[in-house]
Amino acid sequence: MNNEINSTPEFESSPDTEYPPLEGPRFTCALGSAIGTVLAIDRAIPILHAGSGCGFANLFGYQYGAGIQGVGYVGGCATPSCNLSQDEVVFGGESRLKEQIENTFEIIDGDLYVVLNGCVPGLIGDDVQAVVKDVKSKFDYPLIHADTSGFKGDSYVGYEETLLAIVDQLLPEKATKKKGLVNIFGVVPFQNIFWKGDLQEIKRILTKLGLEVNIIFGDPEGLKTVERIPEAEYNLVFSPWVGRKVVEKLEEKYNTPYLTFTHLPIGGQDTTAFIESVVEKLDVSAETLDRVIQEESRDFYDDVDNASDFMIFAFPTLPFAVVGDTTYALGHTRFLANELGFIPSLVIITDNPPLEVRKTIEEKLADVDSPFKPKVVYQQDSYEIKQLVDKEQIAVLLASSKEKHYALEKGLLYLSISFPAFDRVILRKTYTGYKGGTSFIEDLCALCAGPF
Amino acid sequence: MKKRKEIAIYGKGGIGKSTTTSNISAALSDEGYTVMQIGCDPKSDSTNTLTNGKSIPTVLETLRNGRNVGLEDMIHEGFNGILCVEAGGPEPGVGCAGRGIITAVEFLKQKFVFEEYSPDVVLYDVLGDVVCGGFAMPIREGVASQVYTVSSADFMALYAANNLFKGIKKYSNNGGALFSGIIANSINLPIQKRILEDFSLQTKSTIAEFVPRSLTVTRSELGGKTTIESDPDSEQAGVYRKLAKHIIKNDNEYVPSPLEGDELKIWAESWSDKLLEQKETEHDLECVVPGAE
Repeated sequence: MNNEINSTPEFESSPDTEYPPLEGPRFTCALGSAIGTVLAIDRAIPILHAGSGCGFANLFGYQYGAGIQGVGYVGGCATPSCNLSQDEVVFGGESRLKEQIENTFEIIDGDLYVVLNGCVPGLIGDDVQAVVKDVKSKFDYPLIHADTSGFKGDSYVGYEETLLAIVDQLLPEKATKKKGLVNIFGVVPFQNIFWKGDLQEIKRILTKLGLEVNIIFGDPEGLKTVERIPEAEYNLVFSPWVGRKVVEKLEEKYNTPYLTFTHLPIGGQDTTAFIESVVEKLDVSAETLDRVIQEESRDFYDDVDNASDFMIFAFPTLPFAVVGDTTYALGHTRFLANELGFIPSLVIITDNPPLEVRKTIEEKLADVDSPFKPKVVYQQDSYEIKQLVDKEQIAVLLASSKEKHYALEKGLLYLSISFPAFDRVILRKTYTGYKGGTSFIEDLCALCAGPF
Repeated sequence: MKKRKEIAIYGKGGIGKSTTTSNISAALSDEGYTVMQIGCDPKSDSTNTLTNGKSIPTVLETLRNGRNVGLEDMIHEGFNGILCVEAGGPEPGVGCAGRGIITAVEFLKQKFVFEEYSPDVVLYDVLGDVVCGGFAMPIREGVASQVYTVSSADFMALYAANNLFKGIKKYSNNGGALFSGIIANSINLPIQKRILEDFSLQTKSTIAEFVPRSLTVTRSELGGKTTIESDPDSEQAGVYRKLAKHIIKNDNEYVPSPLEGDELKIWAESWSDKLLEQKETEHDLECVVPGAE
């Protein structure tokens, strides 16, 4: 067993500038993620200025890849799209976009309309911003534009570009702060396959502390949550790098400070540590904090206690590997090692975090309460990931459904926890927080429960 | 069945490639060849002097306007029965002109235009900066087989020619068109001739013809005609006839050696020094009025 952290990444490219050729990438393009980001805001309407097929490719490849999540109000077939073809490529697509926006206003009832352009307008140079400005001057609808040419980057770029467009084009210049209000960022809808449940569990816990939590995505208040963004006392980011540009922009524009968490906490220890660090910055009484921790911990450890009969019998102290984005890979590794006593063998981080945050990630993984420290590898290539997993002596694999078949062939206990997860349906399921910890234990035990 | 000669003529915008191409077409048609000229430039005026100065509907415009379009809607007979085609393209500043050329040329091939009309010679008149893949379409496999470039002795024209050489070199490995010569245009001064001769030496290319700048051409064009049509007995018409004869017979096809990196700039600077020296010793730089015969 390797007791040291391998701090040498497999490749050291910056996600901002380079995209190495990959086999089986586990993210979508900037456009795909932007569509998901807009759809995750209730009654927000994406208007695709993109080639025919971009929307559907992302429905099948991205939203279905996130636990077969359905189309919602205006996803899938209902998403307005210019369906650009050769005609627009040659002659430009600006008049087509104008027509599409106006038609969308006429037939789709929404609270916010977001024009998202794909690769074609990005390549031929359609002046999308000018079209949007022109239409806006004639109609009284909230309409913005995010340049999400697919080639601009991956899911994380699309998420950030959409939010930056909202901050720049929709939100007012000034806002009055509301004490105790926090926004949640860094949880990318669909790329984080449990996004809805994760956000709701974070909201549940922080609300219990007396805070007002603005999760934006998956909240039925839709546009109101977006408009509330500038009022926050703090922004909380659940990734060491995804969403950073957004909170920096909000700090610059509204002077809103932010707190960064390397991962979404799972179970008693990390969730308690998380709320304690939030309380250091926000006004929550010591009594409330103690009460929340006690109540939540009591329920959670009661569940652990009840599960332990089965766990000791079925799989005591197994070596495991985790493959996923920083936010899930860290959470699961720490939970399995710290709370369930499993042996952390290998962590493969698949979101290509910038070099400057990797040390922090590695420290969080070195900090596990186990005599065994996991090997940490940054890798996005599915073939390379298989090779790495194959080399490890493990019994449990938490990964994406890309790894499922060979995990089962090898006789591993396997569970999809990261994108893509085509092998499960995810609605409000979460492995985040106290309740997520319980939920994760249930799903883990179900992998080898009877009938005997 | 006689082999069809398919030639692409490239040149920087405004260098005289459409004038030259149309005069070659006119001269070849006078010799009895069936000629098709395809303008591959979104401004769609390649064949104007073959159609009495009138613009013809372009392939892309015709395709855009109706589904049931016939070839006769986009192939128009001009002077001496020359088959005139304009690829067309978007308005300046929008869309993708390169994709437009690809679309138009692919459409003509799909519709077996060349088989249907069986021209002896097809001349593609292409905007020559080769700024993207679309403008390189005519030199890819299965379109033109020979390429000429129209160039003056100006640096930017030679720069464009050098870029074309790079394109030819790239596609030559995949069955693309090969180079057959530089058509040196607007050459009135000995120094201009020497610059072009040196450029062809440096790039291991050949010169098809030296064409002087001429008021006859300007006069003819203003009248919406080629020099061959409007002033067939002029000296300039003779130059175009000689060039056309050379082109129809020339089977020399090769890959030129483009100057890479800073080589072109260094080469140009060496000529700049020579020009400065010459200015002090000779008068021929200033005694010839551009456009004078």
